[in-house]
Amino acid sequence: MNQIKKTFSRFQSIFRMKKTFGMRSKLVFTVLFVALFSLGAAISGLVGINELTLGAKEALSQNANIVGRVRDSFAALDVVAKELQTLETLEYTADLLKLEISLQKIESTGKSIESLMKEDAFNSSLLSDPKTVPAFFEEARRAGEAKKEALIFLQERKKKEFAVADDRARKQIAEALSSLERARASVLELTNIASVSAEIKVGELSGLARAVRNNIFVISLIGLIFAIAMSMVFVEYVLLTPLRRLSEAAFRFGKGNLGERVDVERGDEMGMLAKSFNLMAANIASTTLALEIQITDRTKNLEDRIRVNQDQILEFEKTNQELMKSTKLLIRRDLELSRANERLRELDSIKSEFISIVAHQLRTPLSGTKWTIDMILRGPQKESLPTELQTMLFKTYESNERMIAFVNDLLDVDRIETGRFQYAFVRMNLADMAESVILEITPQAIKKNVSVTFPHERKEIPEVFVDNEKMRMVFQNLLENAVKYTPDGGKVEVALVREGERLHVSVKDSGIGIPEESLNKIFSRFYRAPNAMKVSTDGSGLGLFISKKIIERHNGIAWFETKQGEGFTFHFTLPL
Amino acid sequence: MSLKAGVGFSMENDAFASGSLACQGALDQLKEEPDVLMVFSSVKFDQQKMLDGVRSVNSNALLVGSSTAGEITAQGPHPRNSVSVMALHSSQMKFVASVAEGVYENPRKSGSEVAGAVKNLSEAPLQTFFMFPDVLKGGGSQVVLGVLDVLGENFPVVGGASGDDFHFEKTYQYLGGEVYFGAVVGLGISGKFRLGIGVGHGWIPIGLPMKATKSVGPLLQELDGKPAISVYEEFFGEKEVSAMKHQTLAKLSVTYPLGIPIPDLEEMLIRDPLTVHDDGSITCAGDILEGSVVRLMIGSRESALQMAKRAAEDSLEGLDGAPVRAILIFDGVGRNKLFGERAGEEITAIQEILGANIPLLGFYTYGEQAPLRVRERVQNVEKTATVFQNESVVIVALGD
Repeated sequence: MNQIKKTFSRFQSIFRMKKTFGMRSKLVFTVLFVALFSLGAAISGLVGINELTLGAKEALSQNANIVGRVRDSFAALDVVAKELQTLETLEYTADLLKLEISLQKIESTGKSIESLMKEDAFNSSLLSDPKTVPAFFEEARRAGEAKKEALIFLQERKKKEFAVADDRARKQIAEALSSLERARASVLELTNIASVSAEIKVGELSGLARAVRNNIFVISLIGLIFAIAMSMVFVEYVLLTPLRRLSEAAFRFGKGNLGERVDVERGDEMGMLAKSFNLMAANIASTTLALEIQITDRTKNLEDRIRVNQDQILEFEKTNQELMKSTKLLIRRDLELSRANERLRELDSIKSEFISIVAHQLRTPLSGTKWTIDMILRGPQKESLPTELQTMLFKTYESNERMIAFVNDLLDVDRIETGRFQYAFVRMNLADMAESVILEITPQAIKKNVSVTFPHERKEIPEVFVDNEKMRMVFQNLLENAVKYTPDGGKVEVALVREGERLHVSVKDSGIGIPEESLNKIFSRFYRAPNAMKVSTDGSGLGLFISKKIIERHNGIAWFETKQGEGFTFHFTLPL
Repeated sequence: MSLKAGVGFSMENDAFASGSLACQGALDQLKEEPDVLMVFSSVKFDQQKMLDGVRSVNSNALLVGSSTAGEITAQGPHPRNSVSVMALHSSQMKFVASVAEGVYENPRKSGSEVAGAVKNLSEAPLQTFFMFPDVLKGGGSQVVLGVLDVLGENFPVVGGASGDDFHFEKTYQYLGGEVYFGAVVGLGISGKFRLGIGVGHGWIPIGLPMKATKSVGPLLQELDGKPAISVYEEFFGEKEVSAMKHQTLAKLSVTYPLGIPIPDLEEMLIRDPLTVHDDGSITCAGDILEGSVVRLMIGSRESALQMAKRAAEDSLEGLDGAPVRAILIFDGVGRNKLFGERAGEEITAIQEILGANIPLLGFYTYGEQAPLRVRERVQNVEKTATVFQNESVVIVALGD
């Protein structure tokens, strides 16, 4: 019992997960064991088979003996047969037969001749063919001779050889036949003996073979059962148990027990698998932990961001609402402004219309007043008037003139704005126009001690396409202003210079200039700079507006440069 | 210089006198026998008498035209009611014109009719088509589609819808000596000349985008599931809008039109709401497709001016370096309101690019027609398609 235990434990130790043996080694052990067992069974089988072989060999040698003897018998029979063949081929037999045939033929020919010779018809036929007659008789003679010779020969042969040969042959044939008979009997005997012996041997061999087969079967069965048992043990101990443990561990691990490990001390593949599992589990556990930490962090971050986003969305919605509110406000304000602007436009339009009406309405009475005063001052009544009254009338005339000029300006503005300012363009040299206007303004300039100069070479000034009357208005306006706002001893300079494809006109004075705050207003209607108002109450504030409009209608560009107290220069260019 | 143009205008009170003076002014500048007269006039004047005045000066030339919400010449926008005439003469160009009525009933059919008639009258293949439709009942888009049905999708069609001095009551179209309403007048030009077209608006969206949840043609019923008028109520207050319900919404909305973003188009398409109905739906001057994104738009003088300049540059580019002989401007009525007293700045800006001394005629319209350049995403090819829209400025430069 102890021995069994010991063996089992040793056996177990082989299959146990000791480091020294791998799974492959255990499998090799098992296979070797089963192979040894099968080898034993095979050896016992081989012994049986050897016995069978020996029996068979014996039976075969017996059989060979019998066969030898049979072969001898048949050889004897062959000899007999050859002898018989020799006998049959004896030539004389043939000759004999030939002779017999010749004799029969000769006999039949003789008989035919004899019968023919007895008939009359034969003679007549012979007479009809004379050539055949001698041949026939020759043939008949030869036949008769041959018959005679043959009969003699036959008699000779019959006498000398035939009888002897016949007897010898008969004897030999009789011997042969008896020998043959013997041989046959011997063969039969031999065959019988061989059959009986073979049957006995075969029976023996069959019994032996059955025994061997049974042995092999039993041994194989035991081997198979053992092999199965061993395999089961192997599978159970080496594969299934550790696999089950591994599977259970994996299951528990899968269930979330990340601390699950397999307790192993094996050095085989299963051990390595278990180790790998443990390593993997450890890695997964640590990775999971890291991930969990990360997820927690990220979730927190995300939550923070969502919170921020939500705050932003709320903020955004709030901003949107505020935006809509301000948009509404903006639109309403815009609407109000548009309406106000519209009203301003209407007012402006009304103002323009009012000015137009007033100007038109004023023009006639002003003209009337002018005409009346002119009549008085130029007429014979003038002398009867006191000097004081004359002076008053003269001043009234001047004021009326200014009024008329102002109304004319107003009417011009109205004409410009309503498109009734008709233009007729002609090509001309502006030097002539400038000179002419300077001449007109000279009395005023002399009065104010202001020098007006126009240094130029006429031929260097190109012609331009202008409306004579309108452009003259521009020069008048600019020069009048220049002289008006330039103090005593000052100077005004007019210049016309070609600049590429344009003519540059400038009127420069050393006058009061324009204060900075008024710079962007001087082209507006009715605007007069404060310093200008101080210098002269006279002026409509329309001159520069009209001038600019006229210049623009000529496709020109107008601008100015000035500094308060340091003069004013008006520039404009016109296309050539 | 085969193409010559002359422009005249008049602000006289008498319709006949105004018509004749304007025409005379144009002919004085032209100094040639005119082939065609384009007549634009305020509705302040008796329309027939005004046309009679024009005809009294010249009765031979082809005459096309329309009533307006204000005219524009080289002097700038006219401050008062006026009649303006552009006379054109060219030895290389041929002009034909026709009219189709029934725009209120079937705008698309009218568009096809007038284009078909003009096409039939023209002996040579048409190069361009000017149109002056009545869009008071909102058929703008459909008239244009009708015209394109006949002339082809990419045919250069330009024009302006008739106005009536911002009353939105009745607009007129002129052909020969006849005055029409609810009609569309078409002028076809063939022969040798150069044509440059520029278009732009510069209006910018304000407030949040909305969706046209229910609309049929120009009738916009719902925006974001609410009656369309609620947009205006929300922005301007019910009181303001309620007043508009009894008059014309356009008077308010013309400076706050609706914009529709169009893929591949730099600027939104602008639609003027014209009238409000009892159920809160709005009739617009052109179609608004159901499902479109709709924005409330607000004018910006700076960007409107910038777009006008760009349109002028585009039109100049179209002439391929040929000198400009005549300029026609179809300017959305809302722009006049937007610029206010500075309306002249827009025209000056255009003139700075095209030339200040070129004969120029234009008018403030209730809707503009011009080919918009669209770059197709799929084939990445640029093609032009004429559309109807509002509050844009269409600049047409004609050259030899």
